[in-house]
Amino acid sequence: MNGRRLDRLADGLSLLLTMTVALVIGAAIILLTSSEPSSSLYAFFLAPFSNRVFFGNMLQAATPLILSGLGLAVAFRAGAVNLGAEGQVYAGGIAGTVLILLLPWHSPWLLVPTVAAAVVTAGLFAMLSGWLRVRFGATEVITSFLIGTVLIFLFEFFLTRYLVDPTAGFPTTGPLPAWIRLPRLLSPSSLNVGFAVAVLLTIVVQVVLFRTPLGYEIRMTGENPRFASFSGMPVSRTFILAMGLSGAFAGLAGIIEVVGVQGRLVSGFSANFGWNGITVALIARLHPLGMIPAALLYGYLQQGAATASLLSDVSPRIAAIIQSLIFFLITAQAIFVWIRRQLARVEGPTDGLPAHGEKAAR
Amino acid sequence: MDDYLTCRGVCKTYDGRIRALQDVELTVGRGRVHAIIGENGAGKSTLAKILGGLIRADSEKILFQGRDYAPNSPREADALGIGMVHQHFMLFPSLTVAENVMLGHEPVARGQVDLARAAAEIEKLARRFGLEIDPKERVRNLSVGQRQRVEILKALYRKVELLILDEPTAVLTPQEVDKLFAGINKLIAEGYTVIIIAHKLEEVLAIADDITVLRRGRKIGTRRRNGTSKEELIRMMIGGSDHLAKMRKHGTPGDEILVITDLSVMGPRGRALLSSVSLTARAGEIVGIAGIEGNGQDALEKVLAGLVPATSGSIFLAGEEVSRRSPRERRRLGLSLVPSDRLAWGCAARASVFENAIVHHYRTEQRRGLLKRRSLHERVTRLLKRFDVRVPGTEVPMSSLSGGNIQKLILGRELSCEHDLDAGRETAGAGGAPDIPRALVAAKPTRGLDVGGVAFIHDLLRSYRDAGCAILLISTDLDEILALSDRIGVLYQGSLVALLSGRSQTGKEELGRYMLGGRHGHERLPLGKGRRR
Repeated sequence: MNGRRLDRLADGLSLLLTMTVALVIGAAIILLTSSEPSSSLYAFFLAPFSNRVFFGNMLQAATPLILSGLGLAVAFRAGAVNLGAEGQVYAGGIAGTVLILLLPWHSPWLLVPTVAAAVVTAGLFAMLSGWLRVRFGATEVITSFLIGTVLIFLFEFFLTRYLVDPTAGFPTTGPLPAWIRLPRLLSPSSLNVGFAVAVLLTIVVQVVLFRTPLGYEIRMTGENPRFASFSGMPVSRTFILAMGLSGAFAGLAGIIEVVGVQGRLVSGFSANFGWNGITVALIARLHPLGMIPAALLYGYLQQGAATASLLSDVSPRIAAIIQSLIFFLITAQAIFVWIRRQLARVEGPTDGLPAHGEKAAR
Repeated sequence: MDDYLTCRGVCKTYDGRIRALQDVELTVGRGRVHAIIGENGAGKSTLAKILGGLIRADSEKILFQGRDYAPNSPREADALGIGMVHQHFMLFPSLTVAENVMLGHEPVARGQVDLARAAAEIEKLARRFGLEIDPKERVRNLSVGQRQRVEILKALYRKVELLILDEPTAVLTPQEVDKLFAGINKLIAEGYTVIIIAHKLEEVLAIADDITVLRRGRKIGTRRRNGTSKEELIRMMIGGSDHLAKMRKHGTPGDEILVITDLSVMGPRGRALLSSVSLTARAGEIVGIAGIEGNGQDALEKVLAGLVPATSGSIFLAGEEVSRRSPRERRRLGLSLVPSDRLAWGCAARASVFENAIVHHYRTEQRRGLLKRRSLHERVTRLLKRFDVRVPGTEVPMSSLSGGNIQKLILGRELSCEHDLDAGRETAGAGGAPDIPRALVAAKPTRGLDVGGVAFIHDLLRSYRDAGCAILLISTDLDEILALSDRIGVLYQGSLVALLSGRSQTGKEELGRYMLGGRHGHERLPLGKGRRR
């Protein structure tokens, strides 16, 4: 019997069990708090599928998480932990928006440089953390978190100082021009072509990770950087690149949220896309194709909470509690599996790269 | 033979599928040295662990001094009178000898640990058995041989009567082995009994009274030392086929492939890990680098691989200076490497066999950016077949293979690493065939392997040498160095203290002297202090 297959089977069963337990607890809370439990249960668990608006919003809620999850999974696969994705989402959002506001032309084609600006800016900030690790041995876990936090504050600063629309009454830019907005799908829901882009990129990442030399280098660098460097792989470069990719995907999630959903740059527009992307990546077990169901689960719970508070006597807070509880349990299981696998390694996840206080060989 | 310790029907299965021991029986006489030998995986360590109380057998009937013996922990085993000295020492480096020895069995006087009494007791024990050691010295300052003495003292201090030594000579120099054997003889003279797990037959024949051979978890037989021979024991261990040590045949060296001049590596805090090493390996020869563990082998391996920068000096590979080149460029020039730590550096344990096998070909075997999986698979299949790597499938994780199969895969992968024939300045004649590496640096290529695996890998190294590969063999196993090398260098504290011809009658004793710091036979440092700084 293949040990790895057995491991996966056990993991799958425990995930199934966790989901069942989580849903039962969620249902139990509704039963306890609602005066009309059956319609509340319907509103939470089935209403998201009941019409195109709810359904569309559910898919939309998954979109940024698919994207940030994909990027973070690539980083994890290379042994890099990017805790700055939240800041990188904002960096991408503001970089793209600034470009839209600066460029004098009016054309949907401006989307190309806009998205590029978002992706490159966010990617560079993530690469910075990767470079600090490789060059100085400063762990990327800490630096990405610190830089990411600063990015969020810088975003707020530039937004409220230079970009804000004073008539709006809250920190936001004015509406972005219509020609830059992403086409909607399933109108009037907020679903847009961003979702299709996310699905497409999922397939691309799947192919890159498992069918190309680059993906092989990323995976081997993560599995055992010592082995990778001994075999002549450019370990440092791969590490920095994987960090950059995770930032790029976070930036993409940010700009798609801006031009696809909000239509303006709003303070706090990222609903924890960067952080939830980590949990989505872990629930998906770092498999690109798993990102879609994992993110949809999140979107489903989000939409279920929304429909429950809209259509039944479940208050928004109770709905939020149920949503968080279920997500929390499933995330905990995913993190547990991840930690166990880390511990099962012969070496630590990033041995072979310079550790704290150590300099790279060259 | 009296019935001091008798085992009957000892069975042990790991994970419900790996049968480590099947119905093994063993009778050990009082006051005798009983050796248990066998290839790796024969079950000898498992048997020792059962006796030492580390693991429980699935079924067993063990009588020790006429009473049932089934310890659930090493402590219980100690209390019943059987102590174990592990291959990997279990000592606290920062504590003193006395503290290590008495740990868990501290003498108490008025509610306080009576360290002075313990130290005195330990000193007395040490003198009695010729295991001289300063009880107040910290373990981190001790040599490997001295640490082993501490382990033995630990067991004696616990008043055991039967000592199990698990591969005690694996880490020792020949001189230290002699001292150990002298200690064992003293123990026997005092009425102790010793079980020794071993794999070097010369040593077994030198020390043991009785020898039990295990093979694949079964007992093959027990022989008295006087009633057997090395040849018989080998046959018993490997089961019929004849793997007797071959006559050394030497290569015919050609062009200089790997030239190292004045190579130095500085470690952290300015300590020299390698100082001014100069060495040449020519096509068609094996240059062995002997030395006690920790005398610069690691630095040499890593600096040649390009993972550690050279502080000064140069490395020429087929005429090109490569000391500032990346690992990948060195490989392109025809350098292959077998790392000493195969799990840490030689493979990705959780990745599949396939993924581990394609590491030198994934870049060339691609079409429009995608890996050519079919041709890579064919390549891997050929590799597995050619180098006799036995795997249940190419998708199983590397960690599910045995050490021998992992090593064969790594070696096979390194030996079938094509290089760029046009790379390197002196290509004419210097390169040999494109499908074998120009130079191979093999560090401890047979560490932990069984007799069959060792023979296979030695044959492989010889045949690649004969095909024109320049091989640098870094090994702490003197037998291996002597069996393979055309020339032998000795590393001591980062310097190459000797470079001898493997053809002359270079003996173990002479090499052992150099390994302990005897420089060119003249200024000999006091034995045993070799590792101190």
